[in-house]
Amino acid sequence: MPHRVASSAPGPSAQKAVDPAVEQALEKLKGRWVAVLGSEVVAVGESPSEVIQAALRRGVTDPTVFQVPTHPDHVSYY
Amino acid sequence: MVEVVLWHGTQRVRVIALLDSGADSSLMNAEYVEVLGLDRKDAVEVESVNAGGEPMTSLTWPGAPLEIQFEDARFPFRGAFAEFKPGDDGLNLLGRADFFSHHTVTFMDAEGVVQIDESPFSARPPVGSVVPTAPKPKP
Repeated sequence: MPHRVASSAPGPSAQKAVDPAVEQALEKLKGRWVAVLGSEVVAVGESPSEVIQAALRRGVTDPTVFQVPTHPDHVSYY
Repeated sequence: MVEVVLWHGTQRVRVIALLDSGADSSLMNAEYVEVLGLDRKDAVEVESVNAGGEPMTSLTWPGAPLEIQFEDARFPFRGAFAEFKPGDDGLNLLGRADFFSHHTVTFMDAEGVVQIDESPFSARPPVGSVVPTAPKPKP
């Protein structure tokens, strides 16, 4: 079963690396480190370890951790 | 962008990374090394140039059990960790030496879709599995 990643036209089997529901929240967090689980930004901080610790305090053990790109083109990748 | 997990032994972090068929090897943001339990004192510094032609410093840990996991497939990480300048977007890149060696990636721009399949040329047992060996022929 192929894995499909959609950037603009998701079909039935397509998925995005980050839930589309998070995109709007990320717009306000450019340059910050975030921990994301599903459709929720569970932690915001200045480093991966900081947001992982904050996510753990909320009971989230396996978030996706990344720095939100500041460049407009990069944001569109989400 | 795709979601992958970076592994160093039993320590891991789930990240997102850009598929970059133009990158010789994968490049991850060096901010992750502490989370992965990598000691910067053991790193080997590599000078290289980025896509814009500017010099940059990358860190590697030769011999460290670093791996990338994409869905159920886990394979050795052959890349480096980049020290990005403040203000730079520290985008993680998945390059040819590891990710593209294990997957066939088809960019369908008209549909806005990227299809990723496991490469038929990279079939191998899961990491850590016992591989049966053929008995040695008797002399």
